[in-house]
Amino acid sequence: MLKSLLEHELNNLLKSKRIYTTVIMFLLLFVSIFVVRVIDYQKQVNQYIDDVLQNEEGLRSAENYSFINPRAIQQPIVFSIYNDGFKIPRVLNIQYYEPIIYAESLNEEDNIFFIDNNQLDITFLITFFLSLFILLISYDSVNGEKRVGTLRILMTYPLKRQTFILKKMFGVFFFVAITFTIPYVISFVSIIYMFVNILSINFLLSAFFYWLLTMLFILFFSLLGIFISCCSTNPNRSLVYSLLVWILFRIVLPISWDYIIYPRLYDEQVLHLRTIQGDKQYEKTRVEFDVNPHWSGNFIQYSGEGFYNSWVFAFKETMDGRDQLLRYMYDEVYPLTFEVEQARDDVIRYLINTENVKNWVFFFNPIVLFNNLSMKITGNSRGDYLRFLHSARELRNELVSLGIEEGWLLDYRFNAYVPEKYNVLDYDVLYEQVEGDYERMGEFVHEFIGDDRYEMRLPVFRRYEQPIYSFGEIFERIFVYLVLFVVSIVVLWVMTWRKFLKYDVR
Amino acid sequence: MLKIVELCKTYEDGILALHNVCIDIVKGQIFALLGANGAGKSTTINIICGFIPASDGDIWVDDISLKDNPRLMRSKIAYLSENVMLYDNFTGYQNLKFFADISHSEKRKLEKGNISENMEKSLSQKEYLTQILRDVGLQDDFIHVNISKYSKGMRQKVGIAIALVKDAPLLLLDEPFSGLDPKAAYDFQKLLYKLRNEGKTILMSTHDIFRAKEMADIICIMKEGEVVMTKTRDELESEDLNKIYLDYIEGRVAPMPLNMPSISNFVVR
Ligand SMILES: Nc1ncnc2c1ncn2[C@@H]1O[C@H](COP(=O)(O)OP(=O)(O)O)[C@@H](O)[C@H]1O
Ligand SMILES: [Mg+2]
Repeated sequence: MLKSLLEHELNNLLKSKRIYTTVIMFLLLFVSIFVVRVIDYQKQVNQYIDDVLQNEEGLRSAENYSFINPRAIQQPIVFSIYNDGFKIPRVLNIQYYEPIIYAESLNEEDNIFFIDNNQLDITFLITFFLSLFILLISYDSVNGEKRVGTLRILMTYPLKRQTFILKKMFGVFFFVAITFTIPYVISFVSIIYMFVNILSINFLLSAFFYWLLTMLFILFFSLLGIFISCCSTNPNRSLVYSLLVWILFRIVLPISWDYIIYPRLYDEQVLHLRTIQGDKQYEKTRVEFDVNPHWSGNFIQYSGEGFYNSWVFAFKETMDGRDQLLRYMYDEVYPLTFEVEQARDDVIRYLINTENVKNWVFFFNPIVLFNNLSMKITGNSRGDYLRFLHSARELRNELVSLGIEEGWLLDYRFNAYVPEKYNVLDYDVLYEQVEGDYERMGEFVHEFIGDDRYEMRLPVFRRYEQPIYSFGEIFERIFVYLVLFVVSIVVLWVMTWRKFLKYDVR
Repeated sequence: MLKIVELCKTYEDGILALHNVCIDIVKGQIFALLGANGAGKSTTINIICGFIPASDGDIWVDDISLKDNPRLMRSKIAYLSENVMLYDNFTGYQNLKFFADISHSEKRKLEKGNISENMEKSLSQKEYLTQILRDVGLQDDFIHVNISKYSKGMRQKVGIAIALVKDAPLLLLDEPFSGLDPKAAYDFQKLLYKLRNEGKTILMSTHDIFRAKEMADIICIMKEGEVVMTKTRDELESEDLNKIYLDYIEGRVAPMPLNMPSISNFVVR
């Protein structure tokens, strides 16, 4: 029964010219977005390889006393093709005892397609275009049949009214689902074909969940369109209603969130957090030191007002001043660094929570829900950014455990060195050797470390690796929201069905 | 066959569309509901079809009551609306096939496996449906043409074919002649005779007095939601229906009493 109804519905959709054009447009958009994204991903991969090589090369060439700046480098996420997600900086500079600082990803600059808010990705295609597409298919699904009189004929058959709604719902659903699934699967096969070593259980799981989510999304919008179609006898009017609902969901609600609600939550809370932590540190670092313009280094510190300030420290007469400063930094300021990092974590966590509130408060907005869930699935949400920060910190701690911080007392520029017999080289000795001529310092250290007595040990860097989420983990991340999604679909189904029970079929 | 008992309908906006309508139709008859626009003809048919609920009263088809078993009731009726457009992405044949599939599977469900005899005859479904389309008078070259290219008369024929494959004993036709050109109307009229001869019962609404007189076995005049006259063909044989109609409509004659002895006790409750 339902089968022949469905077959008919699908046939009917296939034969409609209006829908035909929309499908072709959808496919074209899918292909072009996919191509742009794949090119971008390829670029990211190349940059990643470059960065890693550079970093490791830097470490290896440390013999020449080069400045070593170990970095945590985010592997490009293949799923950014589908959802660009939260902009996670690709590179984090790791500075010992200082907050991990950001390095901007160079990636977006020369790509005109990537705007800040609406990145051009498949998720955008789904939330922007597919939602519209579904509404355009389904806005006249009930009142259109009423208009041509077939609804009346159908209603003289002993079928239940629910069956008719089911016919409509599954008709639209299957049609759109197939329209989406075919290019989706092809895109996956081509990704696997294009990028070796991509295929993994994790990859397939993400692909599956993303697909599942899209199916729920399609189901929701199919029902929404049918519901709207039941609200009016005039297809033109229901078209207008659909567009209004779409504008509400896709534009008004997200924008009111981003520009009205979110800044309030953000400004008041986040800046407050930042100020508290920043002020503490600011107080501590306001110690006076003599400044030697020749020997200076930039200590990037966090301050209360903005983000980062550069502080210039140096020593003039003796190294004692510097030593004093460094000891002071060690004892008083650096511990605070951790607090600052902690504060930043809190800020991010706060942002994640407000994002979650957005999911809950706007749970009836499937577009926001889809956007957030697909980020969680594809692995570039804010939460993933936090994880990235944490792993960068782990890397740093590893370096610290290798003794890197000792080197930094010697000279922050040579901080990758871990002279085993460091104690021999204290400042007094060093100062005597260079006779106060700081320009000889580098040379001296070169000679000094070149000495057999001083073993140079290169820290073994672990590469940053993308966390691999298991089925359980992904499921756990999205479970509550999946339930929300399903509940909203069920609610909508009941509403539609009840509406249609009272619908005047004449 | 069809018995309408004291049917009343008041729309939500308070309009009293039907008041104590009683109608009795014997199997194999053509019954014409005659009345001006707004008399309540469509409302009556819509209630029988279950499109709108009745405010009071009941309808019986054979021994099935609309109140008690609306779904089973629907398997007994087939409906053709004033303006059938059908699915205009499909051909006449495809439209028919769709409805044939539904009625077929519905029947299977209701009769628990007793498949209707037509379908399982030696004819394949395709031949069977094509045959029906031919029977209702659709030209062969149009059977597989998109319905958007059909004239109103042709769509009407497909509509009747749809009603026929449903294989229901009672046909409800709402203003089937409106908008048909004379030739199409003539063809359609012949088709209805043919169906009556095959044993179908037909209830049609119309405001065309001459056609009603020509075709109907019983004519019932409605006015402002009430049945004001019911007479058989024989009773009307020597009378001028046009005059009677106008007399009733213009209120020159008092309505006939509601309970007509000739048709009471027909339905076995
Ligand atoms: N959906 C409706 N809501 C309110 N009143 C209606 C509705 N449909 C019909 N009516 C009223 O019911 C009366 C009978 O209408 P109808 O059965 O369509 O007449 P007919 O088919 O005989 O021309 C008319 O007065 C009409 O205005
Ligand atoms: Mg009417």
